[in-house]
Amino acid sequence: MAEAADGNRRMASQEQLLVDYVRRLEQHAQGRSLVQVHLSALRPFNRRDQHLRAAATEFEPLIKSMSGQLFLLKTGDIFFFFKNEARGQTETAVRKVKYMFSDDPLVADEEKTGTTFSSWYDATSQFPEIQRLVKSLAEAEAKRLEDAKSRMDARAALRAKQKMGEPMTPEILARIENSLGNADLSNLVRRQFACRIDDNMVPEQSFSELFISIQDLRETLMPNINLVANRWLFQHLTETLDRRMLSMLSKTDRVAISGPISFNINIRTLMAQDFLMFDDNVAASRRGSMIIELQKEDIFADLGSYLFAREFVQSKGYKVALDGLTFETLQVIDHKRLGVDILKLVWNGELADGGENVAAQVRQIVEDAGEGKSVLCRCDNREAIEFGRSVGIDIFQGRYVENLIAEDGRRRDLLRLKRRMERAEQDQDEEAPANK
Amino acid sequence: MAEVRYSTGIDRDKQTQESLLLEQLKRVRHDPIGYFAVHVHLSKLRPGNRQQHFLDIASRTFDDFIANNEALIYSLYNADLLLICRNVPIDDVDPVIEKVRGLFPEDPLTEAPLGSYDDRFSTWYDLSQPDDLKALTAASNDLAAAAEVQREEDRKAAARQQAEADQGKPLAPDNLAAINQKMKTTQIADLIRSQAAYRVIPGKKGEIVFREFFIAMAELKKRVAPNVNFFSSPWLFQYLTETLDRRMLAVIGKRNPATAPDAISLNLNIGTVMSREFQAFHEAIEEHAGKFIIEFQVIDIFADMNTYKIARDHLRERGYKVLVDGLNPLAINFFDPAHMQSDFLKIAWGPEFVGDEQDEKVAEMRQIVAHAGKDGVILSRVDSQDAIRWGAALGITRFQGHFIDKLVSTMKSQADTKAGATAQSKPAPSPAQAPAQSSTQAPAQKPKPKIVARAPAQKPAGSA
Repeated sequence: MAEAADGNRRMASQEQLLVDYVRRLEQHAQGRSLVQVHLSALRPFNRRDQHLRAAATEFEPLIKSMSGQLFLLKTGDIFFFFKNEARGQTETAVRKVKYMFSDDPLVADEEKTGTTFSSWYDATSQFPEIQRLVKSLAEAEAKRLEDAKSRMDARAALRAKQKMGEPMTPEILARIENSLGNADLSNLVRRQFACRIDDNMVPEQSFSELFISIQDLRETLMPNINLVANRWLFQHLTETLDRRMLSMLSKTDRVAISGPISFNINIRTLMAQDFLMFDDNVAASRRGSMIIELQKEDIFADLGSYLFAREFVQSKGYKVALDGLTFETLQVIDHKRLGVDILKLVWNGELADGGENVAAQVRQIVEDAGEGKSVLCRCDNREAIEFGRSVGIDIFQGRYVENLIAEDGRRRDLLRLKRRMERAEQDQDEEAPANK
Repeated sequence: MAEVRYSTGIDRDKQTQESLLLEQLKRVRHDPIGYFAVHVHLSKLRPGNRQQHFLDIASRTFDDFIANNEALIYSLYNADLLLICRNVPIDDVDPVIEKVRGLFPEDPLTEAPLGSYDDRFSTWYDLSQPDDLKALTAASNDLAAAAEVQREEDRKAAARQQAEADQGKPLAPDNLAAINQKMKTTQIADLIRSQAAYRVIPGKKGEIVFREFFIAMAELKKRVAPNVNFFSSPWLFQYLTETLDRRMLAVIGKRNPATAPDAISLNLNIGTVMSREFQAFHEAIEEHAGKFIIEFQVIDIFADMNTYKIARDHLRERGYKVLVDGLNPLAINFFDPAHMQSDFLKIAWGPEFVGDEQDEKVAEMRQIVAHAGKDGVILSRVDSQDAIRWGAALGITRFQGHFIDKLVSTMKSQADTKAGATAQSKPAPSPAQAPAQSSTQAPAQKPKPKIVARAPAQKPAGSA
């Protein structure tokens, strides 16, 4: 059994073999080319093992005649290196594969959405590009393995504990909830602006999200405790925070709320007395400028309640946002049918790394949702804004956006200062002759 | 019937909505000009949509309307609403009725538009017409009588439930630690039950796809916390399942999988799969990993899709199969389960989906099932012929549940396997308690028919 385990560990993945192959290719690049067939961008029901195997079979004769070498990656993509003499046959094989998937949006909507089914590279002139491509694939795979490993690693758990504090336990949760019952949380309420951003990176406020800072809550109540260590306990805590937030929002003197705002809430809270009381205290005209943010897992935990609650709050005039979306969940969830007003996609560098096929899919979804309906949140760098704009998103939220707001503020201050100085100069100039 | 006096319960000093309605109709009879009524048949909604807090909100929808018009609303015991108006323009009534209808967009009751011939959502009465007034009075009398019977039944049922001490204190952070601790130490091996999923081939006997092992929750509860209601908070219950996962793995890991006749499925939290306990389990059963199917809840998956993918790949690389549990016929209309790229999908059936058989919808669902790979789709909680018929219409051939257990055991001439026999000998839970036991996410003691994640990580004994 030890042998089997060892053998398993040593069994090279297609990704590793590909890296090795490309390393050796450097010397033999002359007269060879590569085609990458983007099967990873197929819809999942077309991407099953048997489909991928069938696709790979099309290249079988070329491999047998020693004209090419095939790698079938975990993502589903095929990398096929071939001798230039066999280009015609390779093109035929790719065409056949493409034909196999002609119903898939990747192929069917190719012209409309600008997706790519296959990318072709010349191994000599484009060798650096091939290297880069394969390197990034290998890194992604290595990171995936590392991720999986680190989750089981006691060392990693220990490090998290040292960095984040002791994990939350039911006892601590009980203590926190007791102290929350009578604490004034208004000083823990934070506000983050979501902004439209123009070509010159100048932000214009669209709405602001109000939330209770978990970080600060922790500092205030339980400095050495990691509140988010257990998802389920944390989720329970958020229900308590929901109620505190609603009661604070009802008392507008506590938290100054101007302009359109959004806040996160559990569906269970939405259906409880607390929300009904909050609703009674909200001026009808104000509801239209309030966005209720719901988490996808909460929605799918009880779809029936969600459908009801959404209808209820929307009919009252509130807007509903679907929060916490990632590229995967965006693809999985039929957001149109869920009937939300706003989609909040969480920024992640992998979005930009995904290339044109990922961008095309996001663009399609953003377009479907309609103008001004998609928000890219947790933007922590300029790349996020650039990606968002490239797929048609125009509202952004996150640290980087906060920086832009601050910068814009400074710029305006400077501008004001400059004007004042200019005016002063002018005044001086005007006064000068008189003074003479 | 207005003259009936109530001797018991909370209604003792209070007039019922039905009696108030009948009194009002009597008054209307003196001068019926300008009066009309709208009967909103919320009682005909699907059970899942008939929850108390939904109904409360539905009746609140009328608040502004009642305040601004000469109108009265009665919330009847069977959940119906009855609106009586005087001299209110129909165009002012329509919007509020539509608003209520809009609250239940996915319910078959609301499909036909207002005023159409097929509209089963509301019935209108022109009370200035003697015939209509008579019809409504008769209907109201019937409703009052039915309410009286129902009230008495509910009172008895509530008393029974109370007697069973099924509710108890809610699960809360302050009793959670003690319960969790008890779960860590209580003997559980004798509480592990199993239920098979079968592939049904017409004309032949069922063939076992796998056998799901779970902890009999009701019995465990008796052992560790008889007076606590486990389902008052879905999140805190979920927390307990993390402990149960580890106990389960320890027990199953000690059994020799080579002797098990069928594939074995276990319902686990995704986090558990990434834990050291799972690693130990894997080392114990390694060469038999191909015999195991790990079930994940869809709520767990949606909370962190990335971790799900890592866990799924991690399992499959080691030979396990992965099943996505906690789906239901409603849910698969809102996301494409094929994206989960799992080996199996489990769809929990419920009687509320009977009648959901319009050709168009069936075709759509067939498509979803086909996309997901129909050989991997299992219809669970199969408790009636209806369920099987429904599944078969969608092209599903794999089933799990009470009804199929019975069917298979009558079809099989030979004796059941030992594990199957134990499961069979358990008294079948009454339909009323079955959903309560099995809903991990359902917090209310009155089982809220949960739409998605109602299958628990560990199921109670004999629940289908």
